[in-house]
Amino acid sequence: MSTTTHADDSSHKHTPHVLPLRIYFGVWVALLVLTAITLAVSYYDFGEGNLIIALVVATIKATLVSLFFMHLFYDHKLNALVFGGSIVFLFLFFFFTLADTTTRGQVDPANGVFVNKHLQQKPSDEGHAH
Amino acid sequence: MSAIDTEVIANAKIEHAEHEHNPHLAHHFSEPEQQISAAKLGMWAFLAQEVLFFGGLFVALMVFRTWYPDMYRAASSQLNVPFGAINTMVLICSSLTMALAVRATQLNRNRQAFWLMAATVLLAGVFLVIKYFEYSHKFHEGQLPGHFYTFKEIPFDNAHMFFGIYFCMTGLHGLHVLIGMIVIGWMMVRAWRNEFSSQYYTPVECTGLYWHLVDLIWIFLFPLLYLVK
Repeated sequence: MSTTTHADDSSHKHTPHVLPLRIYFGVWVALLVLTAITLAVSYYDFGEGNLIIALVVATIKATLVSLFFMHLFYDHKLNALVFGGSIVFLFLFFFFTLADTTTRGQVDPANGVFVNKHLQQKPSDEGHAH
Repeated sequence: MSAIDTEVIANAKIEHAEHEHNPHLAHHFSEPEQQISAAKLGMWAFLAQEVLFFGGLFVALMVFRTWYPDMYRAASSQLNVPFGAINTMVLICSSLTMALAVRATQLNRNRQAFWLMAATVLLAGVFLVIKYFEYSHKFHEGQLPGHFYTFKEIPFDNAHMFFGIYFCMTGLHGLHVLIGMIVIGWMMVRAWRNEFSSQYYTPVECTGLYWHLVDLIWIFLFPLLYLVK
């Protein structure tokens, strides 16, 4: 039971946490620069490195947006826990699904080697709809 | 319940009746701070659901990408990278104007919030117009999902799978943009009527949270769909 609930005036006032403009514009510039970096990197071939760089840059951008535009940095930590929790479960979803789908295949009985038939796909001679 | 508790409640009720009541504070909350936290926690729970909802499509994208990397690369090269990059910039700018609109309501500046949200809706419109040009080009070329696929120049039989993923993900994202425009438009009407203040801006803030999530999803969609090497 709270005895101060309606007892003093200050409990009826909400003080918004107003961020300075430079934080908003700073994040905005950083996001545009990071987009330019993603774009520039895509013109070079680093093999699988391209995907990793693109995902790392996208994750940095997402972190900036959620911490500052969405105020998670200043907010009640429970909100960060809820959002972070969804990301954790998304990773579990990715991990267990890809752990299955990327390792499916058949053992070639003649040579005793593991064959992933999806990776053997070659371009067809001409484009077909089906 | 003890006699003391009953007395406290009785006193609180008397004080409450005499008090000038905060018009935005619902009776089941003890103070504005609690009400705002509850609303935002609810919004974050919804956003967590959105992450998992889009997550299924992102997992599907990665499964097809790892199964058919060459087809995926060939089909992806058909997408218009400049359009995708411009749309990324447009959404980032719209996120900035929306964040500034929330800040404006925190400072009692309803008129400024109105114009910043108008800029957000305008940028969202630019995004959808660019998306329309991309879609109409793909419809024209027959780069469509499943048996609607009639494009001839990708040398893989299953390239329609890429366009299935492409249309599902960008289509669902575009629907979110459209819903965002409607909700922000509603907030514009309320800002024009001076309904928001430093004491009451939760609807604008939650609308902003939704809009930033739409931006976040595009931040991942753009490199995964357009920039595959």
